[in-house]
Amino acid sequence: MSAICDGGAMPVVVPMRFAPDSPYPSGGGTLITVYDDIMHTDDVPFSSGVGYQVGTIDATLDEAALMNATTLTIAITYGGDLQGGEHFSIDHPVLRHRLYRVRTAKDNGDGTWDITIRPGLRGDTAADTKLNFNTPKCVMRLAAGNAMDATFEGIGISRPTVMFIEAFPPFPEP
Amino acid sequence: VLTLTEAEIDAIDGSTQSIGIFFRLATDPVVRLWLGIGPCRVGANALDADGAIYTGFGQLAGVPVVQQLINGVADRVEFQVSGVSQETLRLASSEALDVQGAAVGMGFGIFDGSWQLLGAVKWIFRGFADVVTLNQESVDGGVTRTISLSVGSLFTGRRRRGLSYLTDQDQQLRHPGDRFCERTALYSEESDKVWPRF
Repeated sequence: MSAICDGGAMPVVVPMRFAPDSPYPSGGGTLITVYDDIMHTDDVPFSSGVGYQVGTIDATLDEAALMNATTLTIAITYGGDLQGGEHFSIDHPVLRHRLYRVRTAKDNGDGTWDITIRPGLRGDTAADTKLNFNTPKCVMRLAAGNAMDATFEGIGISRPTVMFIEAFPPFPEP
Repeated sequence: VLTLTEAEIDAIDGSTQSIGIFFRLATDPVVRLWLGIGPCRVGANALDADGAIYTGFGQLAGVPVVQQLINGVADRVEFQVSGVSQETLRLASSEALDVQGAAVGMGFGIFDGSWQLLGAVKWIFRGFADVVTLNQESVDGGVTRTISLSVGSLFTGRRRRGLSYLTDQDQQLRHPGDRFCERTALYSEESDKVWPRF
């Protein structure tokens, strides 16, 4: 991993850790964070025994928004209520995955929400663009060339802290 | 003249201000940077008639103090960017000549509370790019590469003598056949040439 990051020169898509704030739908008194594994069409899992996983939250951008916009109207077709603080990401055409955070949210009562976000949108975004509340991720690069250095004590045990910063084009050839 | 709209004055009046600094270098293609993260689209302004997208450059480290620029006291300022890649450094080295003489603009824009630009970018400094200097140093095991751009204003060269004179030879170079300066040499005797006096 450290080699792929290439001392910060090569951006990587960094997933947010499991986000407890995400607006998961509730069912049977608990939040449904993920469905059971889905098998191939012939009901056979991957060779390792697991199937596909699908996120449970389905949200889209209700109205097109321009670059730098901080106020969005979104539609949550399946999912819980927003409270503010939730992370989500949008897969932009060139910039790819960009991470945003809901700052305030207001329920319009018709399945749409007026939200304010930080930071402003990184690019123009068309209506019906999918918002990824399930596994938010962002294109990042190492904050410093030595950010992923680890010191191992004992038998391969190390708890390094890695710091990433958002990466912007032009991206180097992989 | 710096004109601000009511909304902008209100924004400056508040307890917190959100101000973006914009930098424009009129090479081909035009280099547009602003002190922030991510792209920022600005509307039509004095230098970009149709508006433009400024690239976020959070690390434009060495922006000179703005007040210096407004008062015209600093006759030469230096812009610095740190943390550039090896490739950028190579380009800066090989294409430094393309930059010389290009118009440089520095201005600011005022954002409202939700980070929307309230008006056009106001260009408060205009100068001309001069030399590009490169620096590479090792800090804490990492290498920091810095590119500096020296920018002169209109006042920069006022105390420096020009590179040509009003002599017949120079005039023939500028405009072959022109006789405006053909008798300049006659003034060299019995006259003091004080050079220059402002």
